[in-house]
Amino acid sequence: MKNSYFSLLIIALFSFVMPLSAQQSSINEEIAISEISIIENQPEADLDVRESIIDFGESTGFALLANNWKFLLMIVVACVLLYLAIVKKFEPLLLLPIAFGMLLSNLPGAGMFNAELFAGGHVHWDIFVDKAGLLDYLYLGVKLGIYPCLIFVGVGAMTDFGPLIANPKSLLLGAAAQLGIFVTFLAANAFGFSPSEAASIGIIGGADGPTAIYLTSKLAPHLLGPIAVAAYSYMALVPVIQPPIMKLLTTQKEREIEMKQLRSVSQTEKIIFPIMVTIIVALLLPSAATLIGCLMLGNLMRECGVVERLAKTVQNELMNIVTIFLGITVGATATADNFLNTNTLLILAMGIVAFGLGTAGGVLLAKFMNLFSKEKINPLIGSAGVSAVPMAARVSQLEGQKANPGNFLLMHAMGPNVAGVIGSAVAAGILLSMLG
Amino acid sequence: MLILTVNWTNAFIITFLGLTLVFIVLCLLIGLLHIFGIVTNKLSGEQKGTRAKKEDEQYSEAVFEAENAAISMALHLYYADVHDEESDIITIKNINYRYSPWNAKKH
Repeated sequence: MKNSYFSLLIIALFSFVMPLSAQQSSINEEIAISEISIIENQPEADLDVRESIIDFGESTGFALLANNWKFLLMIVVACVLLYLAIVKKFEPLLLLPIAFGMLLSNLPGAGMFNAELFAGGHVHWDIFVDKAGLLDYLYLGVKLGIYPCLIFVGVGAMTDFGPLIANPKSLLLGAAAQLGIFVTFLAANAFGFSPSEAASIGIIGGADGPTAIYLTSKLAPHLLGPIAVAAYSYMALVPVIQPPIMKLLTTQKEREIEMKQLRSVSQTEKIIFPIMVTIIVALLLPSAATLIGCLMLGNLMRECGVVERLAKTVQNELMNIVTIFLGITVGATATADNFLNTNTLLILAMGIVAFGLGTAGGVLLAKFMNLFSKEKINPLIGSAGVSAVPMAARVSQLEGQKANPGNFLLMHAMGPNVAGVIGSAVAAGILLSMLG
Repeated sequence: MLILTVNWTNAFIITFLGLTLVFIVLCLLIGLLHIFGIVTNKLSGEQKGTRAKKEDEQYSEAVFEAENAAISMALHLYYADVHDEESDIITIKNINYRYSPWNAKKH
């Protein structure tokens, strides 16, 4: 009975194929006719229903999950990250797409992301069209360094460099907070990572997601998943990680220091600043030109006042669209083979060390500067030298107010905070030029 | 063993050079911003010109400072929790007299 159903199905298929083949060229017709005659001459093979069902069962994702527990574990990890994003609100704008991308790429059999297309650090164009899934196409934006730069245009358009222009010394605190990057680079070397991998791990200490993704996609693309997850998770944890370090390195008296109000900055200064920084940094350090150029382009759009529509688009629509693509594709790189190994645990551990050292570097330099300057700096603003805009500045403000309720450090901390963005982009450019 | 296989000379060179370069680039920017600030201040100073304008500016600066002081005071009071205790209930108090002067015979 079942066999007769299958034969009916085959007849229906032939009746569909036959008129189509009649419309094709004469050569195709001949081939089709000869093929049909061959099929007609052969005895029709009986389909084994049981075997067909077993084949179907084996081709489902459930069977593949049962064969490889790592996929199941990755799905659990993705669900935990989704929980952190939705319930605990840990950087949900990025963690949610990252977690969902991770979920998609770890559904066995779906073939949405194929890591082998990017094996060896370059795109295998020869097999790309045949094998690529949706996430592979979207991942090209990361691989070619497009998304992080577009995010930087948006970041620039949302950043006010006024506090930095008013107090240029803040740049020093932004530079000191990059200490975490370089010390972690050394530590990662000691743990057996290659210099390129070590640099990618170290950049987590810059607390700047797009910079971390940009550098890692260039130097160690196979580590992109764990590094992105570490960078964004720790950025969300800035209010937890930084305060103990800040308290440990400062005295109550230092935390109580009130700072003089910043001078007002004219619009001309704000317009010239991005142009000047782009020229200087790009000439000094061509490898940092991409990141700094994009950051400053966004800022110029914001400050010049003549392209308001563009500035709004960059701040909102462009930023949001790119965030979705970036998050999903970066999450997709966290496949079971890439993610479930001891290296991931080491990266997570070293990431938190990098963050802590960056915070300590900024605070300690602020204390050191107080030894020489007449106008005292509250060392708490040094911790904002790690990027994480504006979360790190907010932490400085809160800690400052805990020590002295009349203390308003937010604008003072915004200086080192935006200096940290420039500093981490410069550090990334240096590492790229040395190891790229 | 892993530590021994690392090329530490290269690693230290990258670390030292990298950090130094970050400081050099940012120090250069500090210098330029300082010069830039001085030039801008001078230019804006020349534009101001007359004394009357200066007086206006002093007045506006004084107002600005007063505003800042008021805002700071308000924030301080808020954060230090120094304000009147309010019940937060806005309603008409409904009092039921058992005896009204209008209907009570003894009044």
